[in-house]
Amino acid sequence: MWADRTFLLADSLFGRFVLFYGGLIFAQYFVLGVLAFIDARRELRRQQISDRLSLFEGDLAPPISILVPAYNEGPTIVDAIRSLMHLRYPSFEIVVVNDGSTDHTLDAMVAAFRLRPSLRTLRARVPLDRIRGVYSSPDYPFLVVLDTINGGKARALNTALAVARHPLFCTIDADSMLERDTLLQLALPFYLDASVVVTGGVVRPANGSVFAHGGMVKIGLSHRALVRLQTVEYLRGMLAGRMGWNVIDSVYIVSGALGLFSREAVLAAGGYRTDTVGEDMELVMRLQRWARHNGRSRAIRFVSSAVAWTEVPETISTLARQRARWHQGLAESLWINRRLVLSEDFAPHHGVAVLSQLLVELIGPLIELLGLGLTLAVIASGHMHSLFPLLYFCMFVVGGTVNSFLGLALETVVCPRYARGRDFLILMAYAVLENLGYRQMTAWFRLRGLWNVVKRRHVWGDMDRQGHTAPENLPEAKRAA
Amino acid sequence: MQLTGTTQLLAVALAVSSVVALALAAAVLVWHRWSRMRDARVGRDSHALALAFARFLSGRLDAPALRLTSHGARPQVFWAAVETFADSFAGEEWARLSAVLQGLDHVARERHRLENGRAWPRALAARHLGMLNDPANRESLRRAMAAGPPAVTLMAALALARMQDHAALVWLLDHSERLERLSRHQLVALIKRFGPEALPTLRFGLAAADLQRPSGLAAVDVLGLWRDTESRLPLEMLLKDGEREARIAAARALGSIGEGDSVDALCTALRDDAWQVRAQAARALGALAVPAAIAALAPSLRDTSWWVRRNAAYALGSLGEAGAAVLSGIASQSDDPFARGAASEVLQAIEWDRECPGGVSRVG
Repeated sequence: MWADRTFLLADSLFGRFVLFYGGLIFAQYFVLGVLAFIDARRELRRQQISDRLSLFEGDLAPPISILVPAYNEGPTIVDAIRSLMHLRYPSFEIVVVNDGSTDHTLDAMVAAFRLRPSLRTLRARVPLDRIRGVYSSPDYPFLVVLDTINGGKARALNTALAVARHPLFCTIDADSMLERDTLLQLALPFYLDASVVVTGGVVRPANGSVFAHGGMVKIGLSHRALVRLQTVEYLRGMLAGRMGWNVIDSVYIVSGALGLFSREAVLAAGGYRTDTVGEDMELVMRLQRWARHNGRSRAIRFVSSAVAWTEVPETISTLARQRARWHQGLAESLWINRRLVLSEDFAPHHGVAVLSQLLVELIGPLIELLGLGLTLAVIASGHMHSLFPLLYFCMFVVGGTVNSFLGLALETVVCPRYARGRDFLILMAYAVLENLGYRQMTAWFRLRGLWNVVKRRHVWGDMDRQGHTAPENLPEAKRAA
Repeated sequence: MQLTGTTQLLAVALAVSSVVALALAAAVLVWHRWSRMRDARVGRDSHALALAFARFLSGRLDAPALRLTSHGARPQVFWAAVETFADSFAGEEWARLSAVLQGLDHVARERHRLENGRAWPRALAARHLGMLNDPANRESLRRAMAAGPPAVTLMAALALARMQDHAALVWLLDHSERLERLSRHQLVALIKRFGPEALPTLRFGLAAADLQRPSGLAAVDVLGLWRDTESRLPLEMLLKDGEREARIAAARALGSIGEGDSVDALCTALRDDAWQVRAQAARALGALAVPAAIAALAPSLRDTSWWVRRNAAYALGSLGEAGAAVLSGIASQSDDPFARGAASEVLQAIEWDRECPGGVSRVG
């Protein structure tokens, strides 16, 4: 009886809707992948004719404040700051906010950089009772460390903005490592076009790479399957997806791990909101509205040649918390900026992008898991003559694999980093495996994020930091190699 | 959604899907390999050609041999090799190398592309032609600059700037609306490329330039960066009577020029209605390092703007013992907590600077 009902459900309008939905997701990523190649071509052309040398003339490069919010980043914070000091850019300062860490984050910085209590005037009003101390060092006059009471990333960034002096600011995660030219690449669109207010770059998993003295010594793939799966996912979603949206001026997400912002525009738009867990996503959506309102086209750009390496979760529980938080952030950001679709600020390309975020990204996990449940039920019911499982498999699994291959191909064009062909082959294998369990698992985690929204729970979710691998921590044979 | 013979169809569909995925995977892999090999080959060949250029310049290779080698290179390799030299040499060496290369098909092809086709190839052609010092290219570049669009205008202007074509600078100042979308930084870089020999043209052009537009303001910035003392009086007039953005640019330029005679005009600007002008004037007074500015700067530590207070405090800090004494007095006695804070910050920076020199200039 239940078997017949299952079969009827799969054959009903609902079954067709799930399949149509799978086709929509595949089509969106496929179109974005193709658009991404157009963007890559444009980017290569832009690089060919851009006048980058002038940026190195000290008076001409727009100075940048790098803001680094840090919470319990003891194992990585010193290396992260040292890597920032190696950046190739004429004029920048580093502002670290120790957001009430309960580990040795502050002590590590004080010891490594000979920090002392420092007198700094604040350029904007912030609650002074939240600031426990300001530190800097005669040896590193461009480094300021703020010690604050824990208040979340958004508050930390707003506090950092009160100390930052420069017209552009770059936000990075404390566990991220920037490549030497990343700041230069991010600043280039600001230099070339006065209407730009935000640029974002590519974030790639650092697990498996080797770091020493604040710099990357060797780029490599992690041996952990979970990290490899995320590597493929990052290339598909964060590289191909964002480059695709870039072509139609609809970048709505700039990773909190790497973004360069115009301070004036951010303050005009109201700064970071503290009532959402996706403060970076929400700010970029608000800036899109602001740019649209002020007649600035192509104000938010994605720069595929700017790369940051970040530590990604190595355990399923950490991954679950991270994905739930991201999805919650997406839901909250879309709700706060619903006027993007429903007001006079509506522009057709913005509308398409917002609808995609809403229909594909936000509720996608729900439909995908419903489809998976139905597929399993149909198979269990013995109705092997139903086409539903096969079509579901084609839409979600084969389609997902094809789009992941596009992401991998794009990597070789715009930011090839894996020198060994073997790494590339491994990633191709994981592009197939990703769709056989991992993808469904992350869909479940994202659903939990939606549930947090429904329950109005604000869950930040701690990240278990392993610290970047140093050469001395490598196995003997590898070190010798 | 029913069918008969399901098992066979399922198997066929899965096989087709797998073949499609595998074919795509193979294509991606081949592409990956091929792009690596291509990039390596271009890098190797352009490096070899660049070495040939170097041998020619040092007299170890004659002109016909260099022309023959260059002629045989693929366009991508040829221009990559020229690019390695483009920004590092000028003058006689540039002219010698350009004289040998200018008759090549590669150059003729770029000249043709500059006149025809879509924006990006024309912009790239302008960039390439600007790497060679060939007077025959000037007219084509001027036409391309005037015709636009902005990407082509910019590339042609940069090429002409490298050739020190002052007529192009005059055109740019007269047609500032053409480059409106460029950032001020890039406009300054563009004008600087014309070199200090363009100063008379720039001074003359400034009189007619639209100082509401970024390119006019960039011209003011460049006069400051080149420390053009002859522009001091016009800039002081601009600081007094110009629009807000022009007054800000004039204050900054006067600070860069560093003539002590500007102190009165800048002290007057400390009472400007716009805080941006007051802040730039305070900073400029610090750059002038004239003790006469101390009396005017001290009250600015009570300004309502953070930037004015900060710049005034650092300006006082750069005025030696006398300035530091004023700061100490404010830090210990002022009834204004903002003034006390700004003075204390600078006093600490000065103290740290003695321990590790260079700090104040990084943060001031």
